[in-house]
Amino acid sequence: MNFFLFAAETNLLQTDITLHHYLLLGAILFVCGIVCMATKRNAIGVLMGVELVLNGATVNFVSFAHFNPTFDIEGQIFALFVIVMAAAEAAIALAIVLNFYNNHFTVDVDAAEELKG
Amino acid sequence: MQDNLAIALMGFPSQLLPEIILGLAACVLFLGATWKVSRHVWGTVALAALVLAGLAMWSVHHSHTPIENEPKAEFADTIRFSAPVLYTKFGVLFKLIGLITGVLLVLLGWDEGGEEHAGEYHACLLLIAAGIGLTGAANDLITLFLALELISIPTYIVLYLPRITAPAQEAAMKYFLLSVFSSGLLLFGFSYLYGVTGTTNISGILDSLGASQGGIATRAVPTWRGLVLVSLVMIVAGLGFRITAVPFHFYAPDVYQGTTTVSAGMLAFVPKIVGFAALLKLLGFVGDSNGQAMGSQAPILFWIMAAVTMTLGNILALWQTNIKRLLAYSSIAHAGYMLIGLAVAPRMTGTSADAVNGVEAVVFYLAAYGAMTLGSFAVLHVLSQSGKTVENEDDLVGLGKTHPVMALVMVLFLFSLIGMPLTAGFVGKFLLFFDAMSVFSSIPEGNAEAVRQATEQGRLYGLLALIGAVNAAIGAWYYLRLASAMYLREAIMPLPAVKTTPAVFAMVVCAVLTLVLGMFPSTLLSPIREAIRPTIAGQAKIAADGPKVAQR
Repeated sequence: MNFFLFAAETNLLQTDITLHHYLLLGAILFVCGIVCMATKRNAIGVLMGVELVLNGATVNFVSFAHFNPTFDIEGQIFALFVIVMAAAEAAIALAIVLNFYNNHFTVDVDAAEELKG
Repeated sequence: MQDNLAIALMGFPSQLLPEIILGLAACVLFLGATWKVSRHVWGTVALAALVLAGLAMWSVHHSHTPIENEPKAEFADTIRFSAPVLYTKFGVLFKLIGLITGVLLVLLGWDEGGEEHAGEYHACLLLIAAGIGLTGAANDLITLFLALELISIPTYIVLYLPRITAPAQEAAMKYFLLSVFSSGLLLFGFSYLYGVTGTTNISGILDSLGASQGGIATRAVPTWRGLVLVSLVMIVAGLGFRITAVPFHFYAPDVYQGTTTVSAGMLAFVPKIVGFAALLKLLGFVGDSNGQAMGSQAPILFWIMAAVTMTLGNILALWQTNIKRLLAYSSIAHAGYMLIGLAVAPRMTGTSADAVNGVEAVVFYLAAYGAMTLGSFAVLHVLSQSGKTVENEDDLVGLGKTHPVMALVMVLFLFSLIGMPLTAGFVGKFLLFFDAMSVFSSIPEGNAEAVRQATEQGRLYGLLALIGAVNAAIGAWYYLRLASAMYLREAIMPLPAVKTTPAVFAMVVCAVLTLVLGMFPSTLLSPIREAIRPTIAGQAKIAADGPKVAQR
């Protein structure tokens, strides 16, 4: 059976998006971020992984606050703070990565191998 | 109610006067450093700002009552469940620790790095001092997270500024990536905690989770206990990076070795104290709850972490010849000793009121550890200032003959790290191990099943104390090896004479603190006890619902 036919029959496409879907999205972003941090060798790539983890948490915050009528807007406020903080961290990250590049002529984190023991 | 709420929300900026002063001074330094290059000017301004913040703290102390002493219970509850920061005795203690740490770091960092960066460097140290105070005062996940970041972000700059060599940049990069990752984990844990409890207010969260005894149930709790456990694991992992608990310790030796001595000393102490402060707050160890807010599994988790952390830290330290790496592993081992206190604390409800409970021992150990570890890094820094960098064990050889005073001070810190009597380290270790043992001695009367369970638990904690004692003995080996290198071996190339710099003063302060805390521990223990112990109303409630809490 064709997927779209199946989806239409089982009402899959018309289902409302609920809190669970957003939580799943947050969890997937989180896992993607961790996988990205673990596998990327480029320092900027690792940083992108970190941003994914932070954004996974942000999605959780906003969706919890949106879907629970008894919750206040603390979730959204937290998300705003996290976004600003992530920007500040990115600025420092670029300074650090640039300096790393000046010393190692690459942004490959595997080049960082002087400290071992 | 509405008036109380208004007071709660409007009243908090005045409590934060010391932090505000430090923040403004940091702005002045950041801006001023662009037109005046002088380490003495900016070092003096930073010290002046810290003194001013101390005076502000003193005046705030006279104009505000700590929330524990608030006579009107309803008003106190409103504040506790709505204010983003609380004026508590715990917070005052951490503010004080933050200011003292700030002074020590400014003195130590006086001659650090290039003169052109001195302004920015000191500004970052001021922000770190403000962050410690803010972590102690935070009563909201948002403020707590921002306070932790207020320490992390300047820390990256402090790691990055003074040295532009390849190892130092590597250390800065490693620390940055792992620290940001740990913040991400912590934040993800917070998001689930928010989702389950419906509030970001820490008192409210503890209340919703059923741990707090003295509060009002503000909101309904969805039935997602599983998510609370997930968030417990994430929070412990995220803060575990900061307190260098195994398995999140691996960055520490590399980063300490690569960065400057002063930055390494700062990293050994500051993230640890704020990490523990955040753990104590989030798990409800402070005040009217029992530290099991996120599930009764927490003590077991801490038991395992404590045993593994101290053993691994001590054993790996045995092989190190670089002193900074050695102190990094020693820092890991000490984090393990401190975790004993967290593992024990929830089990100590049956002991007498005079006993020092686990949390008090942890806070005391943190302060003692700060004095002795900052002190030993200060000795290395002072010795390095006169030209030759002191990095390896062999650089200390013969120090007892060539620099008798420096060697004596270093031995004092090493003895304190071992835990010799009359030093702060001894009192800290004694309290922690004694706590672990006392679970065994405080078996309650009652039915056979309860006694059997309590005995089993007592044995488990006795074992933890034993592991701790064996580890202290292993630790003595490598600390004494350093001491013997200083006294028993002859120097081939003696270090040049020590110059008198502000760092020498910081070293002396650390030595005095180590001795005073070792000989008169009650000077610090009684304020800690006041800050940690539940309020009288809370104690009565705990006594009334004691069995219910134990079942949970």
